[in-house]
Amino acid sequence: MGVENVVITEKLDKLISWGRRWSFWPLTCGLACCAIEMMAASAARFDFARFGSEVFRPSPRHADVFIVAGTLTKKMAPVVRKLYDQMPHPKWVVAMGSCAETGGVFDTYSVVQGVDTVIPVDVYVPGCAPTPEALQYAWIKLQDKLRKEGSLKA
Amino acid sequence: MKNDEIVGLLKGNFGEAFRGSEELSGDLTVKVDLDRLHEVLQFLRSHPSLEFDYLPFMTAIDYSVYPKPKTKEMETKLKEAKAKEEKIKENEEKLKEAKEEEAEKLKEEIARLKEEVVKAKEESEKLKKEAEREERKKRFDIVYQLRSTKHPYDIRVKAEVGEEDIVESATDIWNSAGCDECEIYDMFGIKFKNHPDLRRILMPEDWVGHPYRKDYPLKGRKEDDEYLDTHLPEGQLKRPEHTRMP
Repeated sequence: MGVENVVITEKLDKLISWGRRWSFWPLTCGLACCAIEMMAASAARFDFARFGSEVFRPSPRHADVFIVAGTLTKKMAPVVRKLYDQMPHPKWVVAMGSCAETGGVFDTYSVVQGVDTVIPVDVYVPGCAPTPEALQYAWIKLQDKLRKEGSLKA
Repeated sequence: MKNDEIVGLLKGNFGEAFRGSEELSGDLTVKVDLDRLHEVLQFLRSHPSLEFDYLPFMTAIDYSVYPKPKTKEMETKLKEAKAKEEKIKENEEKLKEAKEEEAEKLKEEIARLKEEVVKAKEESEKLKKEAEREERKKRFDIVYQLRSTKHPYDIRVKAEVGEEDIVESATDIWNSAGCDECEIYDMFGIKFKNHPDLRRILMPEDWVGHPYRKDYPLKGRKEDDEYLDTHLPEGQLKRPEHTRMP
């Protein structure tokens, strides 16, 4: 007991985290124009499949990454929260575009000023709208985060 | 049928309820009384030589912060212009007696004054037009944009609506009015009768207030900020202070 077990968990942790970070399953949820760039990122030219995450899931119960792509209105906020709650652990959130980060240009009565007021965010992607490359860079950042964190923290 | 013929047709049929028309680069706008608005729309839809069978959109306009006519400014501008004209006359009389050097100076001054008079008159003319505009008694205008697919006509129908007024729904004439009326009710708070399902369409159903009214602050009221707190599950992340600009 003890020493050997620690070694085994350490290796297992690395293995699981490796598996997770190369098989993200994003949720199909586009709120505004950023969703077009998200679709482009998953299509043939930019090819999200290289990161093992081409499977956009229509059900939150199958997904583990939530890309909040676009303007989040107050009417939509409870729905987004519900979707996030329905996703099984482990799960991560990418806030895509300036609207999702801070509300962007829409500093108005109907827009949530940043999705971090509703759900916790792991990676912020700046841009209006961010290019597919930017989203893929965010993906690499998310993978970095997973590698550092390991699988037990998630 | 030309625009003025359509206007004549409406005038003949509705008399005093017809409040006037405007034409801007071929687009016709008519203003009618709210009481007979529904009849006018029915007439435009069913008249055999018009047949406006398509309602591209309808909306409303809030005139509550519309600038009032500036009559005082207009009067002062006119007075300035008169004073300058008198000065020009004085200078011209001086010019007759003046020597060569002085004459040139006077000529320059006269030219400058003349330009200023023309400018002042133009500005007062503009203000005069605004002053002639009738002052509004009711807050909103409701706007119907109509198109005929059988004949090449477009027409815009407007009617003044007060805050208390209830407009008769146009859903029995054009089905597409349904959604637009919901939106007008949602954003302006104008109510419609005989509408099959009048409720909010853009804002959440329990929202209070009508955001397109001019007295609604752009960044929302305090109650609007609390909307998330009341609608998100308990144990929710608190709204950070930095997310809303002052």
